[in-house]
Amino acid sequence: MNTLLNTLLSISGRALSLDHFSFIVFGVTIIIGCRAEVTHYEECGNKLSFRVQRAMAESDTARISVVVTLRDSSGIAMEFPFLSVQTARVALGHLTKEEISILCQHTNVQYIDTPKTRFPTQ
Amino acid sequence: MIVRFIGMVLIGVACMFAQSFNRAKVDVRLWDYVEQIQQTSTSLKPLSLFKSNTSSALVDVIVFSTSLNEARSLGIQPIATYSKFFTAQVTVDQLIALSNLPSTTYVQASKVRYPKLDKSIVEMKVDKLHTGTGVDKVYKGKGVIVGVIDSGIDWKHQDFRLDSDTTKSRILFLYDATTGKEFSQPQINNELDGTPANVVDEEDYSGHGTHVASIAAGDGSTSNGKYVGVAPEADLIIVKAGDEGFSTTNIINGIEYIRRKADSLGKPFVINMSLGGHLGAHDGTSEEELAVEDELNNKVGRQIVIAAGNEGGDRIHADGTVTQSGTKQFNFTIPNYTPNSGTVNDYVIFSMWYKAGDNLTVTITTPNNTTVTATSGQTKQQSTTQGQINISNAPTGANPVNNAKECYIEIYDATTNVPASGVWTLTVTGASVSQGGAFDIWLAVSSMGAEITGGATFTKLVGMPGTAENSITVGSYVTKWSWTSLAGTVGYSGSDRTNNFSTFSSMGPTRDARQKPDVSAPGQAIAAAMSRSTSPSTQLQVAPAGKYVIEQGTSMASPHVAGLVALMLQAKPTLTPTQIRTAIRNTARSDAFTGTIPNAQWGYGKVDAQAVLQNILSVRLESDAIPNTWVLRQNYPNPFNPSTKISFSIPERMHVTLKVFSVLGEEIATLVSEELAAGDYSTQFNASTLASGMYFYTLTAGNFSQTNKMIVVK
Repeated sequence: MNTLLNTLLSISGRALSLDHFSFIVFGVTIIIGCRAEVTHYEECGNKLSFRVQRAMAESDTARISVVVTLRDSSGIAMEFPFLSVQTARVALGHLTKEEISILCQHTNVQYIDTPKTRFPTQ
Repeated sequence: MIVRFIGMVLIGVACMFAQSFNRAKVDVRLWDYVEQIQQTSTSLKPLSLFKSNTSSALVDVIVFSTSLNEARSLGIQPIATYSKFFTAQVTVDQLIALSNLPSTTYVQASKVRYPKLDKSIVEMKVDKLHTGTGVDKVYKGKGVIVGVIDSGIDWKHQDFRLDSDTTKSRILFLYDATTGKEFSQPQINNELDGTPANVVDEEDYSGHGTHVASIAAGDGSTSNGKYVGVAPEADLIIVKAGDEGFSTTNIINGIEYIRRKADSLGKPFVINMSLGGHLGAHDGTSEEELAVEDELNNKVGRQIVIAAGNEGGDRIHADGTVTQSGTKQFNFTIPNYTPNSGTVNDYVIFSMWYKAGDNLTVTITTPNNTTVTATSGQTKQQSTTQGQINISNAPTGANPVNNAKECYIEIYDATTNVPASGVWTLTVTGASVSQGGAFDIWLAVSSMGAEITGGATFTKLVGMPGTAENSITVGSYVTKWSWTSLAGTVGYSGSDRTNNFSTFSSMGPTRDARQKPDVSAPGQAIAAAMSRSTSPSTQLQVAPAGKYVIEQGTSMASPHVAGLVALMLQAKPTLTPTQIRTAIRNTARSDAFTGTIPNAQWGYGKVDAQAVLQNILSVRLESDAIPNTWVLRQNYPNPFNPSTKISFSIPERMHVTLKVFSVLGEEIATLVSEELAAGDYSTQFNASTLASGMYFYTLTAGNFSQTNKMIVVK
């Protein structure tokens, strides 16, 4: 991938023909696509809490309330418009199982859990 | 016959009066009262501060007695009975008779501690800031937003309106996170202007949020200022996150909402959260704690204040260490209880956390010796006759947020088999231990009051989000324990522990050994605004009727500090969260009750609002008497290392600068640069980063300028 990128960048430094330009645009598009996939997605691994996993396995409801811990919120709101990004590290959502399955693969998603209940300290 | 009977009664009464008054057994404050009543001068009304109702002939007393029956034989009706004493309202005759009973050890006058928010306000020296004493001006929170995430608010309550125009609310926004409804200040004002539009339909059904908001920012106008809050001129943004329970989703929504609104208005803000829970890691990494950290890190003009929790003395935490193959066992007891009808509503939930590198096995043993076991990486679900038992022991490995393993245990009524009453056992075994084998277990929730009866500790009880790193977590201490209720009786909150910590106040530290709580503030028997949507007992209400109520908890301690933060932000709107917390911590008081600070119970001690403001202000007002002339005094001590005090006087209000220069004329520091009223001031200069040598300090104001020398010697 890097080799291809270097080749394209070295070509771009020369006088460009239309063919060259088309090749660069096409190539860069491919690279952006590939890089996005490579850098933004990974296995869900231990990112889904067992509470979420259980809800996904057992829930009859179409959507599950989740709290998403982010490594970085950059671009998350754009990529996942169904998610409500609250702060740099926390997003909320009422998501389908499919949405959770896709979301958890994003590298900026650190953990997905269900909300908890807190009580008045009275 | 009737005449003879009346005559006997009169003789009897006369005999009672004739009975000697055994002073040795009676509180000295009652002596004069008894004697004046006996001498009955109708024009002389005795001072009776120990009487809850001055128009009544009855006296409030605390009787230390070994026989309740002997007291009852005098016609006395005990109100509250304890092992060594009872409380009662008695006549003078009964008081005299009591003093002569062999079973009476002592009769104490009731110390009526009026159930005031102003008691706590005075204790914290907030009253000094409301009058501008010892600081440069009056501080009441003007220009600062107090955000409250709680059960809503009684937005009609007079104490949340403008003092200058009671048809105007100080609530800028009221957001119900449970429904998504949002109401603005104009909409609320429209309801208060005499011709309500009936659009704002929010209510505070539990009353908790109203009480909390009024401690932080009520103006006490319904009580003529008696129950004034800490920041009575602050604006309010209220988020209703629930009634009796608050979802972390609503809490996070609420934090973001308040921040967004405050940012749009360009105002500094403080958020109070008098809430908490124990389902989580207790290390600052729960979802709402991460949101708190995001809102505080590298920001200015804001802080978030959180209640420590009311689990002090509760048997809900245990910890320990296991070696390879070693075990540690804890008993927990499910008391006798009446199961709720239906299923999935009787439950006990444990949250256990341990190091990522360890593999621990957890076994639950029911009262009839059925066992369910799950080792690290496993989930076990087993239906037993004594309840459904689910153990999820880090089935997907360590939590990536804090790199710790969570074992989550549920015991509940999935079927008609409810969790059985009796003694259960939780056993932890070291399956493979490479990181020390330490673990913490919280009995996070139970519907029937289960508790760890064998091996409970009373530490690490600060709840979440109270374990968040950079927020301010507040414990509670006692400033009063009795009050005169609307019903005319004296109410008591436990035993007299005035000045000591509240026994309910949760003790730290956090699971990751950080200092929490940060400080302690008054939280016991606090009178503050009552929601019109509630109907508490008249024993808990105080006058005026239907407007104020007694509540207690770290919920009440936290808004005292939130209000103080509002005063700090009024003084310095660009303070960072760290500066705010540091100033509150560093100026907190210690005494014989707190012992050495910081500690797990008190944090850094009792909050001192006046000291906090003096700490953050660049100058301290020593006297507001108007000086005759400008003076820049010689610093003291001098020579010094590393700090010295510089004093000056200004005879009129003016912008003042006080700067320090090197011998080369290089500006070293600006100690003061602000408009000051006439008065005597002082400021501290710290030269810890400077080399030994001579320096100059110059006071400039209008046409006045004076320079003095000072010497740093290291």
